[in-house]
Amino acid sequence: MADQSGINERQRELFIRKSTRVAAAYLKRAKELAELPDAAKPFFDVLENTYVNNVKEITGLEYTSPSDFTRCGAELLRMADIQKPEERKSIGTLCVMVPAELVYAAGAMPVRLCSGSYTAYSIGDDYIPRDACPLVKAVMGFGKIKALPAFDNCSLLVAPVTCDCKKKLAGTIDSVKDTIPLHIPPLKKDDADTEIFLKELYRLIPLLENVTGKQVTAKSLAEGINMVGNAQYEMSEFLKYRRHDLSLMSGTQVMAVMNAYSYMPANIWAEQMHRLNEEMKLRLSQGRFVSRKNQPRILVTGSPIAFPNIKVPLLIEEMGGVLAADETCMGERGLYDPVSVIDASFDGMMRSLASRYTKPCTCPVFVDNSQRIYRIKQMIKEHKIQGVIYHVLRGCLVYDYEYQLMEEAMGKMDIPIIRVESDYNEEDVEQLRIRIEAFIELIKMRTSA
Amino acid sequence: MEKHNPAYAIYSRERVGIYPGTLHQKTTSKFLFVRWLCLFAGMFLWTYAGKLIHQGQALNEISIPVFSCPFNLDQVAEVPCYYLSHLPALFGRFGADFPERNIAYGVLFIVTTLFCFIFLGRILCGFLCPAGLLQDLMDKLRQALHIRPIVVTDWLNRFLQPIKWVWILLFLGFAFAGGDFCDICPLKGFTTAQGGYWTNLYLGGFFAVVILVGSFFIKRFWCIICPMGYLMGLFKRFNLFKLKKDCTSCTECGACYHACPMRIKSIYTERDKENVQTVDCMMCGECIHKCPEDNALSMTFCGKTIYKSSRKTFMSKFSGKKE
Ligand code: SF4
Ligand code: SF4
Ligand code: SF4
Ligand code: SF4
Repeated sequence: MADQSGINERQRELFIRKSTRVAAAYLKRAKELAELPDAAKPFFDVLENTYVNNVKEITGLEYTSPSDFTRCGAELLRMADIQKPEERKSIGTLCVMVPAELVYAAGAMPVRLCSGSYTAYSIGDDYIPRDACPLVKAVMGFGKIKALPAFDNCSLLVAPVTCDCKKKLAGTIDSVKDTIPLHIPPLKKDDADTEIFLKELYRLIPLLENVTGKQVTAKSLAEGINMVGNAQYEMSEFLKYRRHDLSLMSGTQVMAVMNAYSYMPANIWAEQMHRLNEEMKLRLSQGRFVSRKNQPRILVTGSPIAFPNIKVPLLIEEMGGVLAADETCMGERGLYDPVSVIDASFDGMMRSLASRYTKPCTCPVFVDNSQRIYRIKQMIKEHKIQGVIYHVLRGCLVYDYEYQLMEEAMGKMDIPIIRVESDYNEEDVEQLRIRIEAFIELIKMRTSA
Repeated sequence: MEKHNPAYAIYSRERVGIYPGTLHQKTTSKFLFVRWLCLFAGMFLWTYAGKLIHQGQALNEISIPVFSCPFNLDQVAEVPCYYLSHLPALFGRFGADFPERNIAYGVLFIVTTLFCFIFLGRILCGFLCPAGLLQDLMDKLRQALHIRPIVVTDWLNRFLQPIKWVWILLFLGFAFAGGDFCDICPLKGFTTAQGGYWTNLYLGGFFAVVILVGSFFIKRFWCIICPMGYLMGLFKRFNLFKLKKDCTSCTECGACYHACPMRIKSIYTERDKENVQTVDCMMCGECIHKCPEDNALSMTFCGKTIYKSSRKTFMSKFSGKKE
């Protein structure tokens, strides 16, 4: 395979050196933003193990292949009381619309592979047309260079057919790894559409079972729902702390914590989240805030912000803004909506999954997505947001499309909004910095006037 | 069946049938508890109360619109289905039919019926109707067996609506055409049999089986097409109980729509109006119970909130604490 892609040893070494350096640098910057809660450190370790350490271990073509448990690191495993991590298959998912519950029910671990690696992006650039979105290029890049164990360990990819770039990615990445395209209906209000997605999920079951060799049963599905539900419970507890007028934790760090969920088993993530919640409670009672009263509270929304591409949230906070909330799929959105099981039969649970993964999803690939505006309005109210930064990845048409509607809606609410476009490289950082700084100044002026 | 066949997954035997109740989906709800209590009380009132607290029927100048057959002679309080389906007899009731029933009796009967129609409306369906309870029990039975329900998708609902109109027409008009609605009434058999009365069911017996089996697979199957319920819903504007939605809190997750036995879609799609009560809504509160967003749905009585959705309550079932 390595020869086919025309990537030689030296290139791979160069790649690894560069990509680990970038990832490590971003992690460092995120940690330095504000005092990192102790309980948040393991999440950062997971990101480090995924993007820095494991990659470093590569010796030539061989590298130790860490399972999803070893990615968590020794400390988390000790706390979770796991002595000998069981071997289990990983299933790569390329979007939040793949039901994690179902993957867990099949006895596998879902790994979200949407990546923000600049180095992988530059590799993927050779295989994907120039105007396509960088996220897709980064995923393709990792597929080709084989230097991200989290990716290479996956036995199968599940790629929802959402935007055009993802659609073509689902078709082309199949040459690197077995891929199941998952059809997402472009409309969702009609029952017939949910029915289509339900059939897709049913189709997915035997395909997953073939990989894992385990049965999806009513019991295992119920357990999967409970497990992910528990993670969502901890997350909704955490959101209560995040809604506090003064921040208890830097927003970029929160996004990193959410991102770590992509690479961790949901139960271990939930347990650690519980500890983080307790620390938040302590911080609240001691009045240890990381923001001051007159700092502008900003919401970031738009194209996915996947680690290590966290320059926008970093810049917001380094320029003196408070990243009070995010409406992005690698952040809050992936875990916000719970499964509401109406009927406890197997079919009932499948239906609940099908509707939970499409109906409340505010992804702009749906034809009518006015509900995203409602969701943002709701967040503005809950998090007392003063300004919105609308992030568009270069080439991400669907999000760009919705900017106008969003601008109109924000205009009516008298909430300032700017659109910032970025790519997977560091060349646009200066320009972003200037724009974000000006925006933050603008909000400061508005509030003091 | 071949394991690679996608259809296999739906019919796989391992996935149906009884399995240990591992799903953490129970949240206690005082509201729903009270609803069940009321339903049983209603059933008691219209089926056995007469025998136990009174010799035979009592208080039948007071009429509460639900579906419970007065052919059961132990009813306490009257159910107007007989007179609504025999309107000519209603106008004749001050006359010779029942000499002991005087004008005052008739007036009280009409006034109480109208009062319930106008001010209470279909909350009686959710809280009192014995036919409703019967269907709820069938549904509980199915759930306990983990048998998959038939989901009333919107095309099936579109198919059921005309059937409702036919029933309404029959209910109100059959008597004028010289027929007797009681001969085709699917509910004649249930409360009467429970009370130990024998009646001749005619065609109604057939419909009774249909709705019994139907309500096993479809929650409140008969209520979707019930003529009495529809008439009660007509005055929803004046109801003291109201169903409200806070549209800014809703994420359009559709859980309420899936939970709603009456398949009311607007409750999930509504984005402007505060009042989401429709003619079909019977105030059962299932939607509020399954809604994960704070305050998105609520029920009010005379403007005071008596039940509302709460994220905290909803998520608590996932809290991981051992029950
Ligand atoms: S048969 Fe039906 S309509 Fe007639 S009195 Fe009984 S319940 Fe009412
Ligand atoms: S709709 Fe259902 S609950 Fe209401 S009167 Fe008819 S049978 Fe009873
Ligand atoms: S809208 Fe709600 S209260 Fe009304 S019938 Fe449906 S579930 Fe019950
Ligand atoms: S359940 Fe609640 S949040 Fe979901 S669609 Fe209904 S009202 Fe909206």
